[in-house]
Amino acid sequence: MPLAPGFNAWTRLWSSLTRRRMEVEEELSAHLEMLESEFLREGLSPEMARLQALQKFGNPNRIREAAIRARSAQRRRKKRDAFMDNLPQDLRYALRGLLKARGFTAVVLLTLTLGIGATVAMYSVLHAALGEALPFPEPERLVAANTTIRDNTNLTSFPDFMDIRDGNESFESFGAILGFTLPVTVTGT
Amino acid sequence: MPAPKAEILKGTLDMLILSALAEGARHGYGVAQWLEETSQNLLEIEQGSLYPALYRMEEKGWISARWGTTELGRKAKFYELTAGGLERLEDETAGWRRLVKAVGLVLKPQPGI
Repeated sequence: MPLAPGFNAWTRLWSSLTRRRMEVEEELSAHLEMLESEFLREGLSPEMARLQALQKFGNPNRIREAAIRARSAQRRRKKRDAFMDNLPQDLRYALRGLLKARGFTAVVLLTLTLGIGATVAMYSVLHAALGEALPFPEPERLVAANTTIRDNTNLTSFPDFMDIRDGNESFESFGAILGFTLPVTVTGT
Repeated sequence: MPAPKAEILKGTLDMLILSALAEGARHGYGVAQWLEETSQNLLEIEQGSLYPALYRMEEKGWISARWGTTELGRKAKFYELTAGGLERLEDETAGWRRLVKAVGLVLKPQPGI
């Protein structure tokens, strides 16, 4: 049965990481052993030699992780430096290519301009219409109602509004809105 | 009582390791041993900083590593100076001598301290 594509790459990466880790471990345990045999030569008992070696060496796991971290940090630094070094050259190369293929550049530029412009316009309208919450606390509890006469929406007279409001048992509070503008004169301050 | 150890200054560890490798390939333990013996036990290198430094410098291309066998027949990883590493060592050594001379000149007028 064929394995999923990319599976091999992952197992390869995984096994190479494990191999490198084991290599570091091997290196550190060689160091520890040499330290131990030095203490043995000095006349310590095997147990004491082992203890002394560990004490002088430090925590092998911590050292292994620190060493691996140092190596990958250096690798990242190198990659970043290479990227930054090449950046001006890459940009010049890209610009030259664009200038050489002017027709292509114009089409791409036009497509991007129209595409981005249309999207921005559409979402601006949508955002204004739907996205902005109504300026009331808990807007999800708002309800709009209107009067109808023979199934036709009609204006509600102000006395009717007051009757509905005063007889209300279902809503917390009432307000009236008008769907068109009226000239209003305000005097005083 | 053993003499108090000299502290390895930040930034000098790379130079010390490079000079340990200047005479030929050594493994990590060999580097630590050589530094202790050559400094007459005044310097003690921490393994916690030795290996990160070795790995970093290998990545920088100053040293190269290969697996080999010790005199006692144990498998170990040996490090060797590259041309770039030798150059680096010379630069750092020159810089260090300048610093020591400069600091010495500054400190000399006050021998009592």
